[in-house]
Amino acid sequence: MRIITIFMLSALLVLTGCSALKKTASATKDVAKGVGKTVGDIFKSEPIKPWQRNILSEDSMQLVPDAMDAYVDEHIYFSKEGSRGGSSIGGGGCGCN
Amino acid sequence: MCALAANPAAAAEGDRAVENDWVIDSSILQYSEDDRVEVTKGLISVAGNVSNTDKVKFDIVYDSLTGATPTGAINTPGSAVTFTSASGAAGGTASNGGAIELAEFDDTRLGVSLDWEHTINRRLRHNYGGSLSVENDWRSFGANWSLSLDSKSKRNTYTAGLAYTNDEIFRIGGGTPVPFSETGRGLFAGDGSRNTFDFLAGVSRVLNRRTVGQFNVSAGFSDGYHTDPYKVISQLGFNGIEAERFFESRPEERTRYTLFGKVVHRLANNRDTANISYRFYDDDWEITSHTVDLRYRRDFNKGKFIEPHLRIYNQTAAFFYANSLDLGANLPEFASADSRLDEFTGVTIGLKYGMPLGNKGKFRVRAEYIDQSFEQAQFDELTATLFQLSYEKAF
Repeated sequence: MRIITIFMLSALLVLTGCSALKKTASATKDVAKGVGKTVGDIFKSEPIKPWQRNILSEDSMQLVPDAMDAYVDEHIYFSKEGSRGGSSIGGGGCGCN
Repeated sequence: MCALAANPAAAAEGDRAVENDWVIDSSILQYSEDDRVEVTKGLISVAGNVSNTDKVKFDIVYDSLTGATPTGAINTPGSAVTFTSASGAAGGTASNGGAIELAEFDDTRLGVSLDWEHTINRRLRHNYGGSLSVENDWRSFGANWSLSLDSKSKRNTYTAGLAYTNDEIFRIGGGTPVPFSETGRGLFAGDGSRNTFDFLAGVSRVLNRRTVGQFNVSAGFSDGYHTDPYKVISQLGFNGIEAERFFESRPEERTRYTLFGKVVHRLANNRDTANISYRFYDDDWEITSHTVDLRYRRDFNKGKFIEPHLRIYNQTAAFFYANSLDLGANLPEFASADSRLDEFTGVTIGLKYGMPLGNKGKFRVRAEYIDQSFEQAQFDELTATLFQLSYEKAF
């Protein structure tokens, strides 16, 4: 009887475990699909007509949406880190501490 | 480089509707480190069209810097080493007889720059720029040029640019200490001079109706005085007490490479925009760094928006970085205890809010918190806050 109980509990655990695992795997798959779709949407290349550029012309869609903030950030990190540059070219140095 | 630079590889920039001829942007900010540097900065930028084919942008920035900065010295009680002076402040010996690890300073900086964009034809543009920056112990002059070409469909913009910068470096009162000379001897040479050349090639592309991407490759070569004339490094005896103190010494050349990628994407809800970038940096001082920057903007009605910001930065140490030197060992060719050359990780979190204010005006306010955790440096953590108010007006 004890052996049968252990066997049944083990079987139950395996089955429920498998089911939970399956659900987890399914959820992970859904998340992966969602991420994949978003990444796919981002990098999807499609022809653009001039009249389809309304979103692209908005301030928030510019590569540098706020030049003032970009300048301030670049100055701070130039002063506080060992590396610099990459996004633009030009300007002058400073002896900031 | 304190780049007062335009954005040379902005694909969408050329297609941006010009609603007004002239725009004035202004900003004031306070940058505060815990028990360290305080910076008050004022900026004004004026940009506009001077003809159908020419645009100009003029920037002016004024910095007031005060507070204390690490000298690189290690404070061990009983040290009898003399430290001549610090940037703009008197140096000396701490109350326990050891070195002063933080030097007080007080400085101002004035920087101006001018960018001129000339459109040659429907697809081709030149951009010329010049900048000048003056401090009590630094002068910098820079010039840059770039060429941007749009593809026939205007989906791609190819950019190539180069820049030259000349820096004149000296201590207040003139001259620079002889690298690796003992601080007590007061050996000084002339002013330091450094020439830097930067090259950039980039492409930006409109990927679809909701996405713009950018990819840049750049390289920089600098030759001349790279040492910080105020930084020192302690030499510790076998008992752990400072036995000698030297002015630091850095190589006279540096070559840098960067790869930079950015994507700006409008999400399907039409309210949120993600601006994500990654930079890989490598140089021959053996500093390699990775930078990830994420801004996520949510637009509300009537031009209001909110934008959280996250930036993560990690760098390896320069090959000559050392917290201190050992007595008895031969002096290396180069050594610096400047924590900016140490291995460290930096994290920035921030929040920005924007809203229309007045006729054709835009108001923005932002706050940022910066944390840097160092591997070996004497001060193993640096925290700072930034508070900035900006106002832009179009005419």
